Amino acid sequence: MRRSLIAAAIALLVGAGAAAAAPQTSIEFWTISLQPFFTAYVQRLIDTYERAHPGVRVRWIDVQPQAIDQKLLAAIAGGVAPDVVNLNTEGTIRMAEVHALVDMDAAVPAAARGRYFPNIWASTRLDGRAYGIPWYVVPDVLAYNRALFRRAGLDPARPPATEDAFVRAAVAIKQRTGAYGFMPNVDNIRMLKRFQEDGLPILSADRKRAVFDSPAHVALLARYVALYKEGMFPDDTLRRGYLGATERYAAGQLAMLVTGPQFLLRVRSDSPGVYQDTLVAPAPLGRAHVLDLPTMDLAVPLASRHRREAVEFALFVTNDENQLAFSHLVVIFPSTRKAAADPYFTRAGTNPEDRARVIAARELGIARDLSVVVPHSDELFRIFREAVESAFYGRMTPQRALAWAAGEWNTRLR
Amino acid sequence: MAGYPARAPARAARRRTAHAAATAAHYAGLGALAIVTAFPFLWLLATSLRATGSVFGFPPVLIPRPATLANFAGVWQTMPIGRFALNTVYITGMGIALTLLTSALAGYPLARMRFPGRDVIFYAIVGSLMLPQHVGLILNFVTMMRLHLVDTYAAVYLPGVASVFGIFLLRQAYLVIPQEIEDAAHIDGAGELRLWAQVMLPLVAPALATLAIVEFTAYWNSFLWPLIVLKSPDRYPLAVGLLYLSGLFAHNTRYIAAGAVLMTLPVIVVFVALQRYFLRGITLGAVK
Amino acid sequence: MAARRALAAYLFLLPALALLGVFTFYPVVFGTALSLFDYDVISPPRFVGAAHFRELWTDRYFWIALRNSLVYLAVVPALQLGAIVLALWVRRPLRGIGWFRAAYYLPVVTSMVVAGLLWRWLYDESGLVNYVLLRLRMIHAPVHWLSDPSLALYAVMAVTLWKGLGYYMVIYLAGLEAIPPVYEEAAALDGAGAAARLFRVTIPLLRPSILLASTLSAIAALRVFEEMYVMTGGGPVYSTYTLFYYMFDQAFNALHLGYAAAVGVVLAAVTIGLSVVNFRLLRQGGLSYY
Repeated sequence: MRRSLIAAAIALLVGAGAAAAAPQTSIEFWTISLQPFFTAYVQRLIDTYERAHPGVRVRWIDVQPQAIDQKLLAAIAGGVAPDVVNLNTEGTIRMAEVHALVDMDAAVPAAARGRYFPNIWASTRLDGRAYGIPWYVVPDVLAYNRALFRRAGLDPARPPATEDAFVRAAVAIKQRTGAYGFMPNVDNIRMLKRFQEDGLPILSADRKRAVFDSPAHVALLARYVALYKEGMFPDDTLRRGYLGATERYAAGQLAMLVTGPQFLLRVRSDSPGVYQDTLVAPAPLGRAHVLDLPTMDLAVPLASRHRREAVEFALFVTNDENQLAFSHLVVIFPSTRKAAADPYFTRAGTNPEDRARVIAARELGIARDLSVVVPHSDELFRIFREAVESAFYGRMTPQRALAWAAGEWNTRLR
Repeated sequence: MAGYPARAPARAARRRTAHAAATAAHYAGLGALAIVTAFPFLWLLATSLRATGSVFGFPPVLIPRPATLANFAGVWQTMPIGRFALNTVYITGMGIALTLLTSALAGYPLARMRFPGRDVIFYAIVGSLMLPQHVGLILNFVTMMRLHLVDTYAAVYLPGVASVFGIFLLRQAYLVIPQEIEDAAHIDGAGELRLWAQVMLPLVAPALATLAIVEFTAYWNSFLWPLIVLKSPDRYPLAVGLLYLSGLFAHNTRYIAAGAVLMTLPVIVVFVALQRYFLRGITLGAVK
Repeated sequence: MAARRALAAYLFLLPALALLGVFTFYPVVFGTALSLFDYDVISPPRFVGAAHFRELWTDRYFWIALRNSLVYLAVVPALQLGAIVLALWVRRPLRGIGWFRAAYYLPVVTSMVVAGLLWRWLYDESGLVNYVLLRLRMIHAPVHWLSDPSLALYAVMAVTLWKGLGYYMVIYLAGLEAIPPVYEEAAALDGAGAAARLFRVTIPLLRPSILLASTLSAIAALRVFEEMYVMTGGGPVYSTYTLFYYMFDQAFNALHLGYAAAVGVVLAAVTIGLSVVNFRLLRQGGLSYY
């Protein structure tokens, strides 16, 4: 009796949010880090939409990537959830796991769904349902510093095309110039993607077993561990990931950076010296010749009081015309087929951004979203991260680390 | 400065030399420690004034040549720093004013009145320091939502207004006021409120000044709670803005340094201006 | 008359108690109740009894975090000892001492966001700390302060020390001020040397300040989070992952609010236990002011 009372009290407390009938529908739209660079673009989208839908007002809020989880959670708990929210694949899956998001396979008519690349649309699928409308995709490219290349005796006209060549170039640069050649993407759980780029699977076909402890997996991890022990990449690689890499590249202390091309825009304005020496090439490929395709999605929380309008607005933001316009501002790629077919993406240019755009457009064909979708993702990823870091910092051998993590995964996946 | 009693002249001369050596040693030690605590700020300032380069690199640059304000201008153009600063000033000002008022009111009866439940209330207040405040972040947000305060300045400062430290500090300050002062006021027929406002409050002014400085830094620097409870970027305080900046401009440490300087400088100025009161207030208010 | 005075007292207390009630006691009560529920913010809470506590018992990350939090507590005695020595030192009436005190207090008034950024740069492998130590030939190769799992926690503790020294120095300065000079003068007349005066008179009389400062410092140490949040993210290999960090992660990243609340209850129990021990240890010596 008492227990149900407490439950009722808590439910009452947190499930509140008095719905006041507004004369006009107002929807709240959250984006990640689009201010200040794209304020004008988003504002124009909203103005256009509001003119076409006089009954709807859009309130736009831009959120920092570091804070979006906490803010979204607090907003949903507080009964003031946003109506349309920008999330990456992992974020979408995490929220979908707790049944917080609208099922887009059901909410979006088939005709509208057909406008998107099917593989991109499928990237937010959990148990067969998709929970996000794909917005834009940001494939990685290789930015490199030609001055450091020359100092190391490498030919800037022939950047490394494969992961193996990438590592060899990095080692040569470090040994010959003292500057770091690369900061591999092995922090946190990004090793899961590295495995897949080399064609190494993460899960068994029935998704009930972790299979990342094979000798091939171990060899790949061991290779990076050895490079780290030899001082071939800096100590904050695992701690700070791409933010740390960006910082070093812009300081001229890192020769090669695999990153989203939007980064170039900022280097141009803030570090003109480094920008002048920057060349762009396709991201080095692993043995499987696939490339990760990080996607930004628009999701609608179930807690939204205007789901229909929210889905409609999300479809508007991601339509061909608006995505194409966005792609003209920065090197990103549309998630819709028609927009991506625009000649704009194949016209070669001379400055690094234009080159990056053409290169990245070519890469789209070999890219897919390599995010790993598993239940209890928080716990499994925590374990994986611990295993990888233990291997790098010498707490376990790579073989023991991966075997341990796979074992822990298996007890939880069953 | 305590005077040194006169002694025999010869011994005094020897003493003076020894004394001078000891003083020099003291200054050397004090200076070394001051370098450790204050030097990072100078380095931050130097970085924010540099035209090129970053914080890294040997040897560290301490005097930027040429010095430039371009980074500050850059930060100013990219972010509504002025707006953030105004927000911070408002939130901090309201927070301090209400904290001072609440603490000055609550500390008074706890120190100078006898009433049922006084000790229980006092221990409950002090004991609350030890309680788990973790899920408070979420539950306080729900409270704010029910009060319709989400995305308002009030939501940022209200949870901090009832300050345990402030109540404790003020209670200590009231405790040391001589009973005769209170008795005299009572004979004059002053009511409780007048007695408090006209007699007691001026006597605890130093403690209030201390509290103001402590709370100033607390409100000025807080970032986690404002980040969650504020939605509109045009209401953000500086600390949240800086966090934003450090994510946005990871590649430009000079910008970040400039932002950090903008955020830190006012606190340092206020503190240096008020440090005399600060130490005196702590002295009067602290553990007696 | 007495009733009217009591009423006045309650009115004076009303604003503080109302706010404390809403923003401190209420979340604590509900937070504690929440530890018995499964709650992910989205679905309604589900009662699970003590299941979370049983789960904690076998949760390796809980034990890692608890261990780190307890190791981190070593910062408390270090901080107190340093602050007492410093307070005794800057008590001397030297010319310009106010500036030195202010310099020592600078880190206290700095935002953790700024301090974290600063120290991340200082601790970098090509940062200032390594530069100075290499120059002084105290090390031969750059040390990975924040990336070495066996060092990172201590590196973060050093930042806490840097940031907190001035704060506790001020508390001890106040405590020293409060000691009537007659005691030390009497001891001096009795022929006590400087050391004897310090250990027999000053330090014992400073006990109330030590109790206050060490209790505050221990509470803060158990709640440490921001330092790690801005500098290490809890890594490497969870070596700077504290109980509070675990609580935050469970609440905001894993959406296990009930479980996070259970971690919070354990954290509160440790805090209360430690404060009691602290009181017991330091109480002998007469605490007249409570």
